[in-house]
Amino acid sequence: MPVTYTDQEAILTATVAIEEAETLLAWLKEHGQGSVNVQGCQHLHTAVLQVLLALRPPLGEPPTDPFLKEHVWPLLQSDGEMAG
Amino acid sequence: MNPLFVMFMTEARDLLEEISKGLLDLETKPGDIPTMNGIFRALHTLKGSSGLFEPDLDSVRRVAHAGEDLLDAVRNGRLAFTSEMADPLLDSLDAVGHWLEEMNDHGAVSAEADADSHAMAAILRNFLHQKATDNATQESDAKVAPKAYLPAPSWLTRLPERLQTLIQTRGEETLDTLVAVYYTPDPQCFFTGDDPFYLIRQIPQLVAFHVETSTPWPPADQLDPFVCAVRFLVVTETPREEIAKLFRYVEEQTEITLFNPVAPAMHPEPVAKPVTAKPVAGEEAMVLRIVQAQQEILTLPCPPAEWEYRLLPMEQLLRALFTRRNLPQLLEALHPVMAEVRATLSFAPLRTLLASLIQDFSGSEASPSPVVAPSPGAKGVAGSRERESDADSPAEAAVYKRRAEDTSQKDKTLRIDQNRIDQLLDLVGELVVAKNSVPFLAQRADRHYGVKPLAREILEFFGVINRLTDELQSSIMQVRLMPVSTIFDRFPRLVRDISRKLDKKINLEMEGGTTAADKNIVEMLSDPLIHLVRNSLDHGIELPAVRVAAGKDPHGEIKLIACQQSDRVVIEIHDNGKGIDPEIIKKKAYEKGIITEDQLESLSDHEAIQLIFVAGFSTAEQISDLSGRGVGMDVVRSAVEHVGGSVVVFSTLGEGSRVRLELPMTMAISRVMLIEQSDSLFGVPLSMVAETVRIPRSVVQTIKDREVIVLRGKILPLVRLRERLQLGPEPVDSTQRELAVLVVNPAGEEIGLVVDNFQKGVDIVIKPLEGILSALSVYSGGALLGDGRVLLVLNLKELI
Repeated sequence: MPVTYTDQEAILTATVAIEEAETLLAWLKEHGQGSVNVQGCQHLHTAVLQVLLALRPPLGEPPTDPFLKEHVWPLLQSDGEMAG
Repeated sequence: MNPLFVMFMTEARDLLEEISKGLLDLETKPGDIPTMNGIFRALHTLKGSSGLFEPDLDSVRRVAHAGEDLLDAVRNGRLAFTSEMADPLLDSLDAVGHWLEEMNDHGAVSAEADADSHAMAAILRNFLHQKATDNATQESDAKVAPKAYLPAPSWLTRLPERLQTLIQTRGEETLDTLVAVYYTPDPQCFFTGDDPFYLIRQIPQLVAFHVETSTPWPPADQLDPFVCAVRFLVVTETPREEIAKLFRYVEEQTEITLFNPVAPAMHPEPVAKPVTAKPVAGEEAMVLRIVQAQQEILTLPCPPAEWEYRLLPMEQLLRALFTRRNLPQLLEALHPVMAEVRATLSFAPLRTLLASLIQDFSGSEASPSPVVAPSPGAKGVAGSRERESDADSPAEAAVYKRRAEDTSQKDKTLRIDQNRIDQLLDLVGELVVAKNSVPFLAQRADRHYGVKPLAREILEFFGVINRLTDELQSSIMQVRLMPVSTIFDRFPRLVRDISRKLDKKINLEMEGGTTAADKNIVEMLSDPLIHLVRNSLDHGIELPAVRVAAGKDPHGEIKLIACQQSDRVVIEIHDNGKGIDPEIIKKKAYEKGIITEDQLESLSDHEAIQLIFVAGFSTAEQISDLSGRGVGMDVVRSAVEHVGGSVVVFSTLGEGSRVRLELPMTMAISRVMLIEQSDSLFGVPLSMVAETVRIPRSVVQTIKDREVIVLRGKILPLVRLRERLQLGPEPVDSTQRELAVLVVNPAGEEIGLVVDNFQKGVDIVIKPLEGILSALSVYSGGALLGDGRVLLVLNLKELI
């Protein structure tokens, strides 16, 4: 199970496939204050990435995956950096 | 040689010819829409088919693609067709033709093709850009004038400052071009299983990564996670070729730009960041940049008239440079090189000089200063740049012109209208028939004219003719033979697509693709085979989870095997899916009224599963509840039987199924017996004739309205051909005291066919009846006799 949901947190691990996009979106909508833990995530499908970029949930620790940490993490952190 | 390629080659040669002819036509009458469409279509086909042979024919595809884009612009009226446009197009065609011949002769395209194709595509696309810049005049100068500085794409400024700085720094460190990729994935791409982000992650040596959307994100409630809304903005040090290869399946969604992150010194834009390198390294770096800039200039297309204007400043610049750097040996070398350039009308010697110069700079002085050491990626770019220019020089272009003239002689394949081959086959058939009358001639010479020696000589001569006609016949048959791989080759793609759609994992294996059969038979096979394979995929192979639960490998296996068994071609489709349950088949067949209650008990399992081929057995609603193989299996059978083949299915429940098709290898000459009936001639396949007897009319008896005779103690029912064919009542004045009876065995039971008279057996080529006649099932086909008469061959199964 690449995504584990608790009351406050959605924990993304390993490779998060497209199937999770809808569930994650629903969970985030339901848990307005819920945060997403991407620390153990190795790769996330574009659809899942989209959800994170669109909803901007609070995130915990940076991911350990070097690519995600170097290139994606700053993007998820910064607000308004997205070009329109 | 890959037979698919052989087919492609013949097609490609035609296409190239068509395109060149069209281009020439277009020159005389520009704006001719049908011609333009013709060229566009041909280029499009060429692009598509060469894609089958990637990466070998990437160069062909690339040039065809650029040509297609250009023609598309012309076709849509965005661009006017000019002679200036025709020249590079024709040159590219020659190059494409040349690459194809190389591929054909050596199995590979020469190493330069890749760079050449880039250059050609660039020239072709340049027309499009020119148009664009004509509209937006402010940039036109930059485009026309030779430029060394490759500007960055405009979207780069949209990157966050942090990334822009990063790119700038990286550029200063490498002093070379970087590659910018703007990737706009198709919004629906998730449904085809694509993960654009994953693709982006495959890019090595990433410098910057950013994501943007075309419109601001909608509120969470309206967000559809399955529509891809993001675009990727990436800068990398990986050479453009590699990036292009990575993105070759989404080529039209990506924009790949080679650019200089650092503006050159002479460019008005100041370098944004203070130069961190040491002063001495700074000058070296500048020299290197200047030399590289000259390299770049040489790669740009240049009309011969402007050659001198390009050469002269370059010569002066290099001379000044060498003096300043105190390089007398180079100063000396420059003069002869320039002379050579002018003499041969090729930039090549100058490029060699510049290349060695760049290497000297980066090689000898690289170690102390990291500034001038080109990164591996940069080296690749510089190297290919250098090669790209080859095709631009007039000398190179001339080479392609010459090659274009040679190619026509190289082609050893002859494309012949199938009708002509068929005509030949008919003639050979007639020759065989005519040949067979020679022994009768010998007989007549002997018996009728009493010249025995002549008869013997005729017979000897017959032996020779006989041998020759046999060889001729088999040669013609060979011409029509085609390897089954021509249809097998479609399956990997088909299986891939279907298995993805069905979420099944399939390994496809194919054996015996070289097995050959007559063209008609191979062509006929295509649809039934696709049908059978699709059935195996759809209903045979289980979903991976089901397979694992059944203790099987999650990957299903489908095997296509073709082989030749004497004069038959056997094709088998194996799958290791769930197999067919004979009980379910029997039950369904009984419900459908195909079998009786008795048969329900008596049918063996093997017999039961053959019921899937019975017409009316399968309907769509059945797919789900029984193992499904069904839709149109009767169509498969009738197609196969139409060409004289047979189909049978074997299956072990839980282990898989095997469908076996047996087909004749050729529509060969068959032997029929001629019979006379009501002054017409008919043929009966000799294989069905058990014997011929003449019996007195008096022995015919009648049992329950049926005429029978007793032949050697067995009762033989009689059938009169005259009645079956409704040729009218027997003439009253029939004086024949004997009946000619053909004992035939069409369906496991001997029957006496009463005809007017028998004649000899002949070899003929049976052809299926066409048009209105094809509805007459009592005839299996027609043939031409040696004397020109048409012979109808009876289909005894239907007749009796």
